[in-house]
Amino acid sequence: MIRSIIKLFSVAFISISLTVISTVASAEITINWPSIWVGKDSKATVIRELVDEFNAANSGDITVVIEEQTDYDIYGNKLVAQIATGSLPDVFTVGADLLDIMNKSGKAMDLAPHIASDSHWNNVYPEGAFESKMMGDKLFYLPYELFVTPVTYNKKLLKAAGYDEFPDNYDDFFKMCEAVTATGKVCTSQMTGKNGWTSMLWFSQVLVSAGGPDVYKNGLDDPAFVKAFEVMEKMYKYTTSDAIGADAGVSGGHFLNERTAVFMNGPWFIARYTSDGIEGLHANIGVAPAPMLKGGKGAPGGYVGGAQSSLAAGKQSDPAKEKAVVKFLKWLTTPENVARLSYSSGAMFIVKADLPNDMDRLFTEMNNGKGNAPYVVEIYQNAIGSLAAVKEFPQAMSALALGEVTPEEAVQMLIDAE
Amino acid sequence: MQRDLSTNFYSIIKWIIIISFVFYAIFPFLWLVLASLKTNAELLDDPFKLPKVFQFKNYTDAIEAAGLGRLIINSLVISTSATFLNILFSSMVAFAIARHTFWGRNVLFLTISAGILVPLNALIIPYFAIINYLNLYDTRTGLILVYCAIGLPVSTFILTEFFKSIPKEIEEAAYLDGCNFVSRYFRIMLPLALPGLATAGTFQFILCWNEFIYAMLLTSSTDIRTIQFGISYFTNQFFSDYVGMFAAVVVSILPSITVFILFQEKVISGLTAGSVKG
Amino acid sequence: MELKKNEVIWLIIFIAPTIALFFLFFLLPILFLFVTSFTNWNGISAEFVGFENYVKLFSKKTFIRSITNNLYWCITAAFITVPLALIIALLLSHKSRGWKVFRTILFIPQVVSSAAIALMWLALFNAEYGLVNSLLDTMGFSEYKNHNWLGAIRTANVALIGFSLCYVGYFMVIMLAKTTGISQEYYDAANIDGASQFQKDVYITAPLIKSTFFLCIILAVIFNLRQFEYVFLMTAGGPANKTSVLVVYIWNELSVQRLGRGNAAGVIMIAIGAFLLIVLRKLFKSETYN
Repeated sequence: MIRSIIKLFSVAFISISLTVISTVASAEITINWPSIWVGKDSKATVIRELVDEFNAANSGDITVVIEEQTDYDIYGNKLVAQIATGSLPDVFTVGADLLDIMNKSGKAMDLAPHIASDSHWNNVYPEGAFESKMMGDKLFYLPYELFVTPVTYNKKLLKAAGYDEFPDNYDDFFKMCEAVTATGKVCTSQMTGKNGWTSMLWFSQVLVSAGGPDVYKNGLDDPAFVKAFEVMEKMYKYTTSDAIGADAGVSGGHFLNERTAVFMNGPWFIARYTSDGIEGLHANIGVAPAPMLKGGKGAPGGYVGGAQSSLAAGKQSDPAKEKAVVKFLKWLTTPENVARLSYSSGAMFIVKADLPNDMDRLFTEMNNGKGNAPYVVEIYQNAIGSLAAVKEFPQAMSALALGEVTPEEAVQMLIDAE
Repeated sequence: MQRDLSTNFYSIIKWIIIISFVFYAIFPFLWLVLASLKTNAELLDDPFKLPKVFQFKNYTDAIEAAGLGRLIINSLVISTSATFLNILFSSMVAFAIARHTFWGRNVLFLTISAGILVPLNALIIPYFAIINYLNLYDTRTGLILVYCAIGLPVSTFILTEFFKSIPKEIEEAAYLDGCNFVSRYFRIMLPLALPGLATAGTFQFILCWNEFIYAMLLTSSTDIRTIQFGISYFTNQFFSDYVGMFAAVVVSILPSITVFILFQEKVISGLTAGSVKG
Repeated sequence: MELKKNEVIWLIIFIAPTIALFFLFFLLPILFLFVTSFTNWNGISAEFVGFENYVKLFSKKTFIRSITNNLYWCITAAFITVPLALIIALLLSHKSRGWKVFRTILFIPQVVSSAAIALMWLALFNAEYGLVNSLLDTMGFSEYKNHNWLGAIRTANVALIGFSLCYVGYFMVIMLAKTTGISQEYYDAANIDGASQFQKDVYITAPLIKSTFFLCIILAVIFNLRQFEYVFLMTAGGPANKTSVLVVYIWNELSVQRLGRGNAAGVIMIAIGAFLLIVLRKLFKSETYN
């Protein structure tokens, strides 16, 4: 009788403790990542692979769940809503427009102690990568993806106009535009729709060649801004008739269809020259730094570009979860994984990466140009420090191009946007 | 003789007007279908030329890549539930307002109708906070509740006017016969107002079906997401896979059109003018 | 109808759900909008600034232009779109051959999301390859060969408001639904008197759906005050902010994190809408039942 009671008791005890142990053991950490690198984004496939591999390597302990965000504007709104009313996601990416509010929110994870305590970060990031990003002694984001935007031009169309090389100054550039127009093609792609991306890139180039790499120090009062608008006004005389109000699809489309000879965009666009461009377009494309303005403070070969997205994490109260998040961030920043991302999408990263030899020719040219450039200055959108001035740019550009305002008044529009 | 001429003239004008507007209305849909059968390169080159080869694979690609099937089911569940609740609640209020006098009646009606004025895009942060507070983030219930609420002002406004314009005699007779409040609503008002209910219901359904901002804002997992997410799958910051998107749009339109045909057909044309008599 | 004493509870039950939802999703958020409009809230910090946001708004050219553009939208909707919808509803009420098919087709643009329609019209209006310009060119207006409809200041607003005029489906369906409820007796009597179809339309059908007509006008005005998708997707308020409307302006304010000022603009918009709503209802009061 007593024996059977003991037996019963021990069976019950063992099974209960096994259940408890397995429950505790399977207390898995879930990391939520509302990711914009999904859907048709060029990095989507590799990111998916990286997450799956991480989950497999950490199965039972950590699971990273991607929440697909396909609309960047709404993603930004959601982030602001989360900052205002709740907590930030476990892992997320931040573009230049949201860095400021995220830094000041007090809801992001401080990464400085993790960087100090682990040599991984100093090994994979170049010297001084973090200094300028720190808020006091805290660091709230990891610079990750970057880009440069040199000129991409159609060698065939330039040759037909009598130009074997891309001009290195604006006087020759506009002479070339005349010649290209004479062959029946249009010289440049421009756009004032949405955020005026292509034109904004050109604007940044002229700014830097007029005012030098420190042009943003004095803000909108720097005379370089007026100069830049003067050049842009001229450039709009050599663009397609639908440039005003056009969005990236339209302005890119013209270059892809060989209607325009000169374009400007980041390395992520390279794949499209082959997939959506006219036959043989890719082989005809050349990369060149933007022209220089006579009497400007810029140096030849100077590049313009910027930080694309940075990695960040929400504050965690559970130290185990914090560790898991940092582990995932490390996984995303290993040189091998970054090289994989670069290779498949054409994206560039601040993290050191051993790129394979068969990267796309245009990517290599851009990368080399970046390496040889005397400076790489942030684009207007990232550097001007005023969201309102960025938003007003396409309106000022269209007003200028339509003759509604003078270059000085266009700059005034940017100032008044505050 | 003279009357025949003017009748014919009227007829001719009538058909010219109808055909022009019909053409104007169907053109976007035809273009969508055409564009969805091209390649992106062809589309950027000339959006209106016929494609070299009809790219039917755009449709299979779109359905697979974005998982359109499951998204459509989500949209159906959410839209029908929200529409049902919305019509139920707004018809109840409309019945109360249109047929009874009580203290605060006008104020109630004006306040609810004033909800039509509200710019929903500006309410992102409050809605986000409220849904989170109710623990309804990333749930179908949360979206259903929000959609039902958003459409209440318009539905109430439409239904109240509809109810008001139905002659009172039948109800008054029933009232005198001792028919109570709830019976009057179910047995008399609703059947009489079926055209109005169908109309308001159709609009509400389409509102839910096409709604994008809050569908993205208040959900995160793909099993809750709606068809509009599927369409946005094909665009990103720097470019859009237009043809994939258009294929997804065409797929997403079909249920809405079907609902419209069902509702309008079954309910409205079933009622001939003669059955509603004083 | 007078309520019996024991039915008051039913009245309350009937209006309760709507009031609850309305409170949660309209009154509370509007209150929030109102309160924050007096601050300089930017998502993380807020300080009380009194009427500064409102004063600043009215000093901005773009804000004023947004209001006037909204008025253009509302006026064209009320005076052109809804009357056109009335005409089509009257014509379709004859129930001639194929009227059901036409009704469905005319409604399709409402079913297609405005994003798709906007994309299509962007392509149509495009200066380089748009159909509109090709058509005008073949008709002999060659000066329009490369005209940028949405990018030229003279024509941006006209094109933007113009193309939507003919999408009458929404209001047409509402009015058509009302006509199906008209008793056949009226028409029988008219037939005996020898009335023509035109006379029947003008003297019988139209007056009987008058209340619905005014309902549609009110809806049209209010919807156009809330106009967002078409403007945002097609011109984003440009060129040079000339086509901006209120909700686009608010959206822009919110996306540069000027949440306090954006909410103030929202409050102003609601105030304008309330004013219009009251005025219109008073105007039409004599015409509707009450």
